[in-house]
Amino acid sequence: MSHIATIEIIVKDLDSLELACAELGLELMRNQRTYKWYGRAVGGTADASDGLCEHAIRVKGNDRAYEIGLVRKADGLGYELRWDDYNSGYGLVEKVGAKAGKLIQGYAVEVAVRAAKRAGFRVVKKVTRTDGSVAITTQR
Amino acid sequence: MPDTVTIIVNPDGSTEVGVECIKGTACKDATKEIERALGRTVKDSPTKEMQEKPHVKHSR
Repeated sequence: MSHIATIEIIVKDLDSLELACAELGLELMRNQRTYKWYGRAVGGTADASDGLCEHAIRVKGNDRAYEIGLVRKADGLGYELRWDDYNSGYGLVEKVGAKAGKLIQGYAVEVAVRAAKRAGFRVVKKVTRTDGSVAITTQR
Repeated sequence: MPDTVTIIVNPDGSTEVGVECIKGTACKDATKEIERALGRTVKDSPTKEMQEKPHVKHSR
């Protein structure tokens, strides 16, 4: 390879996030301003912003599960994902993976494919490798 | 040989974008849009091929 870049994923494309959610049995609730969590932090106090968000992600078919809140990052570049993982979020963590790894991976794959196409590349191969990584090969 | 960009997305979401078959600094342009769409580039490693000059034809 003549150039390799390592990227820290920033969630900012809601359309790609919506597709990634659907793949995992989740639903992106655009403009839902609160997300479900325990409701009280340890010690009985909570930050005024806890539970507030710009959009939310819920688990389809599981009303008991906690939700993920998309909170605008302080620098304005994309969203931070926040959730309560107590008791695995009552089914949430199983869907999104530890530290939301599965969700972020799915999101990054969607974004990468779209961006590659916009740059004039076509996807010639997409495989999930034995280590769980997804390798996308594009050419132009 | 076609320009090839390979994107590896790991299970934790960390991502690498690599390009081959483009000589010189043109390879950075090929992946810039992809990198920007994904997020923030935290490490950038040019390879030996990157340091070669592009093949440029001169004609009169």
